[in-house]
Amino acid sequence: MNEGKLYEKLQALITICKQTHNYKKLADTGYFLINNQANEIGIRLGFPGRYSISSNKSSKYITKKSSHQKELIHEYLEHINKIFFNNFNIEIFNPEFLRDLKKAELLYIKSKGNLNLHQIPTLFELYFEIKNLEIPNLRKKISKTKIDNIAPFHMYSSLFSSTNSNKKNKNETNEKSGIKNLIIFQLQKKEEALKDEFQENYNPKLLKDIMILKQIKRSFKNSHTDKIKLTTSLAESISFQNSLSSLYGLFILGLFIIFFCFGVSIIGLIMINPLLLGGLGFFLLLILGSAILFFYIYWTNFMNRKKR
Amino acid sequence: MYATMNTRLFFKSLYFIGTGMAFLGIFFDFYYYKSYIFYDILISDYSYNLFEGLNMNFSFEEFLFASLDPILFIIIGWLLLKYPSALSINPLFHILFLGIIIASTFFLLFKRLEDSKNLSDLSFYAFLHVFLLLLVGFYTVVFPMFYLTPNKLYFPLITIKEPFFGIIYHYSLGIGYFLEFIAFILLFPYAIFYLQTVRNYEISDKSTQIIENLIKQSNINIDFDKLIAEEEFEVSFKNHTGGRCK
Repeated sequence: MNEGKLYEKLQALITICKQTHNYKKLADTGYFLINNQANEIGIRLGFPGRYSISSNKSSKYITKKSSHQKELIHEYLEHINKIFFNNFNIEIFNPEFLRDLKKAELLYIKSKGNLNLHQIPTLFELYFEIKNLEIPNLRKKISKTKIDNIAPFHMYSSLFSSTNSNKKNKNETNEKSGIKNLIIFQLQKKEEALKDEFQENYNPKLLKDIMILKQIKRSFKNSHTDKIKLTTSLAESISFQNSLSSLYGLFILGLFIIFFCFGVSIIGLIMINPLLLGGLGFFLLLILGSAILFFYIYWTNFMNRKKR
Repeated sequence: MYATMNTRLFFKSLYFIGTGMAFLGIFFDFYYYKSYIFYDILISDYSYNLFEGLNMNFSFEEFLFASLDPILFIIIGWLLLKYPSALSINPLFHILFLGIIIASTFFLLFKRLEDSKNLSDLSFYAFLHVFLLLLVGFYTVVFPMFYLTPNKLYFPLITIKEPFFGIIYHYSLGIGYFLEFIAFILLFPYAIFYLQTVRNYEISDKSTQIIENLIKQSNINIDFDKLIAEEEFEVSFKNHTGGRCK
């Protein structure tokens, strides 16, 4: 559905719902419109989509794709903000907007969608505010011309021309690493300038440039072969980088599984010969105690976060 | 917890250390069983190795020497009767395990997750890593549960004193077992992460159509026509009856 048609239908719905005093339907519509918009932004920025909350039973007019329990809209957007801040030192969403959204969303959930006529406009205001935010599609491949526009590497290409590796001496290597540091410094400066510009004035093009520049810098830093590799791969995905923290959780989970299984085998042994309890009781306590501790750590730090 | 690409490298290194430990563990003894009479005379010494099975590390000469003493002869004979039944795993299974370890290490080195252009191609390798993890799990959990326990070989570490003859039995798990145990802990995070990534991520051309489909799939479908029609029906019904309806 195109935008004009959507606004037309939305207007018609608002008018008729005002006549019938069915404000719940309006509240539901407003909430789901915000949800869809947030989803779209998240997906375009390279995040997995967010599903609707299952605790809030949607009306019969609105069909849900999934009843998967996920974070609330404001939490989802805060999460995006946090990741962008950690990676690029920039915030996509205005904190004030997030605060208003949180207020409206919590009110909507608490009242189970039964908002009054004065509260409903806030939902639509928030929807139009989020709708007006232009987000670049960061899932697209980066073209060479785009890179050249941001950081003209051909300028430095002579410095990194391929030389016979046998002829390289220590001085050459030192010089190159010095130049490499200089280029990284230049890239850093450029990135900072873009960030400052972005903070002053939101511009989707700038956001894209910052991300590409960061990618170039990282590839350049990691390059050991005087070559700058630029690939659209998993390693460059923000979502993938964010998922790396799950490795700690998996480590704790692995410890829990192995200690628990070992504890169970000792219990089996004791059940066959109960007299062994005296000798193995200490081990059993230690092993099962550790298993419980690891499970607790996993539950509090990783399982709950997944649920949120 | 904020993770960087170094985190991935750290856990990948742990995975390599884990495969090394799992490889070495196979060649070390998994279990030791010793017994002494009169508190210090060794009368039986067994060790369990995956390839060789249960070995008696007690020489025949020592047995003959001991057998000159009739009491010792009877006791040793009795202890020999207590020799655990030869329930060993087929060596081919261990060879398969070694092969899986080598293959897993090789594929982890050369089939890099982060450089992949098509993650679905890595499914086989992801399952291979998980299979290795399961095999290590087999050695650490199934071995004590289904081999040691039925043979009354106690673990992890226990000493039992028999008061009548003063026989002391020492039971303990060996270095090989502990290496496999640690290997499981080191292999688990990256093997599962690899599988999760292969299953959850997809690198595609990311054309506009794909993104649009993705958005469509995750969005809630709002049927405006239906919503408006329902309300219109209510209005007409209200006008017709002249009252308010619910």
